[in-house]
Amino acid sequence: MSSGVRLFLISAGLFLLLGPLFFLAQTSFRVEAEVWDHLRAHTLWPSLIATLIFAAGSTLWALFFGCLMALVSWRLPFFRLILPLLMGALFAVPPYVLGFLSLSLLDYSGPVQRTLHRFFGEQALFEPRSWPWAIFIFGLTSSPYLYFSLQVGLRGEVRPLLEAGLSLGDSFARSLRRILWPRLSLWALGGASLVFLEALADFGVADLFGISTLSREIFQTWGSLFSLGGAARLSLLLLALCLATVVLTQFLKTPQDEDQKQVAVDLSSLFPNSKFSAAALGLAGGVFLLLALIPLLQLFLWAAKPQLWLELPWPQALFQTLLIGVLGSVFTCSLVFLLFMAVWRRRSERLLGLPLSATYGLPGSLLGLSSLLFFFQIGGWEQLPSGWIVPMLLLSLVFFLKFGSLLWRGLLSQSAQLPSSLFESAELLSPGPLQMWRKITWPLMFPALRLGFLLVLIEIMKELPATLMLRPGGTSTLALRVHQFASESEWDRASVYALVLICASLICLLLTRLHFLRPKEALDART
Amino acid sequence: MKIRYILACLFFALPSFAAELVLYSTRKEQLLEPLLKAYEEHSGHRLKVVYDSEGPLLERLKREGSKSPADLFMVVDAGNLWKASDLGLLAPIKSKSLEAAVPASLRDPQGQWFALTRRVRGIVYHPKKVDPKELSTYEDLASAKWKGKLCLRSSSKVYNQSLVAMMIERLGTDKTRAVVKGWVDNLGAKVFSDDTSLIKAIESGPCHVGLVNSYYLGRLIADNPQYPVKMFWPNQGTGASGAHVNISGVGVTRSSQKKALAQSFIEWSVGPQAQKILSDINLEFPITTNLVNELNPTLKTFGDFQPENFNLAIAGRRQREAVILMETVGYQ
Repeated sequence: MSSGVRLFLISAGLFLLLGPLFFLAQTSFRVEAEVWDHLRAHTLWPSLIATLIFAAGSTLWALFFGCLMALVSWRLPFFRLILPLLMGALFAVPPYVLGFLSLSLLDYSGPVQRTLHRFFGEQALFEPRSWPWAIFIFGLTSSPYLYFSLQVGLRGEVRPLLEAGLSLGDSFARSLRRILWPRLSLWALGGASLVFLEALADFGVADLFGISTLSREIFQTWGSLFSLGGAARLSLLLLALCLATVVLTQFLKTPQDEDQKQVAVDLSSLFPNSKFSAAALGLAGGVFLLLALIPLLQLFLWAAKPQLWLELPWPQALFQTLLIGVLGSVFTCSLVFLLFMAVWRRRSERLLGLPLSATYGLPGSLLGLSSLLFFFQIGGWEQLPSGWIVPMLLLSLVFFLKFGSLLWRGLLSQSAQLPSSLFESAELLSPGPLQMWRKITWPLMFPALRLGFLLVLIEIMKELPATLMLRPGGTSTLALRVHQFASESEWDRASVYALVLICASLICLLLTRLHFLRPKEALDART
Repeated sequence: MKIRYILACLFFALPSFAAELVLYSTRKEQLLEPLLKAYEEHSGHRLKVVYDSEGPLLERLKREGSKSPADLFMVVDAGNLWKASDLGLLAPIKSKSLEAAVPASLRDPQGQWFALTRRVRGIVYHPKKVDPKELSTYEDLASAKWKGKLCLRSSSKVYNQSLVAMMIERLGTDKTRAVVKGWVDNLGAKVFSDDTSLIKAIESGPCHVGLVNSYYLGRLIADNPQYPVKMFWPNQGTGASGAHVNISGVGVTRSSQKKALAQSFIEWSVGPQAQKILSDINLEFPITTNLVNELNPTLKTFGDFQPENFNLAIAGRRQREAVILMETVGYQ
């Protein structure tokens, strides 16, 4: 790529990344004194602390559960088939859906508490809207990030290293710490930081369980105090937290982590005896059953009414969801890929990577608003056309800001596995940059691109606030329909759309496992 | 031949005489669709709807300004309508039929918005846990006898914000602060994210009384006429302020190029056909008392009530004050 093109792409990328945030920052200067004084005195610190506790708690729980499931699937071969499916199903479920399903079971009027009330009286009742449940639910739906990250890291063979450490007199725990953790930490850190950023941006679960996070306060300030400036200022604080998370993640990755190639751990070594295996399986199974499978069963029961499937326009919603998803994903992946190729193997890699990772943690509604402000200010337009093209472009910009880092990380990981000498040799031997790109770069990067496309598609399908704001052509996606009906407590109608959404996401996830989508050259290059 | 030619042109041009109105609305799609369909059948004009929540929709209208394609702005809660009028987004309209149909307390004094339905916030209770003779006013729920028995929805919901705003107008800030603090101290459970869960917690949970919009209980009763939780209208009787009534309402936007047509939509919406549809879909009270014989049976079971007499524009004007007050006393 010529330096002129490279410079143009980097500038365009920075403009698109920083432009909306600039206008958001500009808006934050127009906060009314009365509102800001109130926020500072009563809500700023409590919501900041609540956000950090919620995010940290969810991350730790996701880390624990994701690692546990990864260990179980390696230790017990039978579960190597089932667990990826189950974890994939969890990944496909939006956290707020699992949240309302769980609450319907655990709430005072739900079957659990009704039974407790009948047998043990009112003193047996417990408050379901609490921190632990919110953290369990959010951490559970985010644990697939850790599970799949660790799956990527767990290849090859390092059992001999672990056994060598044990035979040389190291204790089991010391071997884990000195041999296993350094090799897994890169993957675990990557997954954990994704979960942390997701938790920072979450609104649905926090609102459902009554946790006053920054995201909730942003909505409250905007919608109830009618203060866009106040909401913008709080969102800058959230952005700062996201940036801090990204920087800390980079800092915690030690230099040798970057050089780790495909490293394997035979995790059967981690279960020194069968009792430990049984305990791990019991714990994982118990958690899964209580917090995931039973609520999903409730979802099926609510949706098991043929009349609903005939009367509700779910095929239309599905089509619109897929259309917005595919268009948004194509835009996001194309833009991210171009930007990545412009900065790859250069120092400017972090110039784009850092803000892209940070915007992942911002609420979709704020990004939607920033894009709108960007559109009005930069374009000088005075109204948002109500058709398809412009709202879809703006929505795609939001998707790029929000989910672009998913692909960016994938491309980074993919490129880290490829020896730089390969490209240096290819540059020397190749007849031209286009040939090199077509025969070497594209086939080698395609697996990450394909995976990133599908992951971004899944996230777009589940996305709610930005889609609600910008709705191209007034479309109603599956997520919007779930929200519409769930907020009116019409659970059976919400369940139909939720089930279709989960199935669509699951199909996309299964596609990530299919090898036939890979071009032959990439397969050859990998073997 | 010439006449046939003219008639043919008219025939093909006919669909284009049907105008299109653009409606910006925060109402749920499934609640609005029957009304819009009925209007399209009645008038022959089309309605295109942009759905969103209050904050983004107001911001969008503001940014679009005079070039906005919106002809109508329809929302729930008077606070949002007041905000739109305060921002200069709505146009005042003069209509004798609207003034006759919509009570003065349920419309903007300058004619910038009009109520379409009434949404009453009452006290729900379980007859096996509470003797209705113990119930009286919103303020009384702050007294010590309700300690550990009261349940409320989150303060972030506009229904509670409007109620508190009207209380500030009626009682003053200090008294209202004491009342809301009393509510918080009496909570028997963490605040709920929706009224239906609150009602169900009264049915089989730690709650004995709560504050909800009547239509949530109405829906549960419509599903099960034997539903055990009952509605009580607070602040009734001679000299009392009346039950808090909020609205869903609509206004014509200042940017509209079809103000006359938009006005006719509002006039149709307060007529008997539209009021019946709105009332039946979501079990909200119609704004006109003319429909008393045709009132939905579920709404009839709630009985008559004396509504608050303040103009609802106050709810909007004092909303920020109400939210700040609630957050200050720890009402989450």
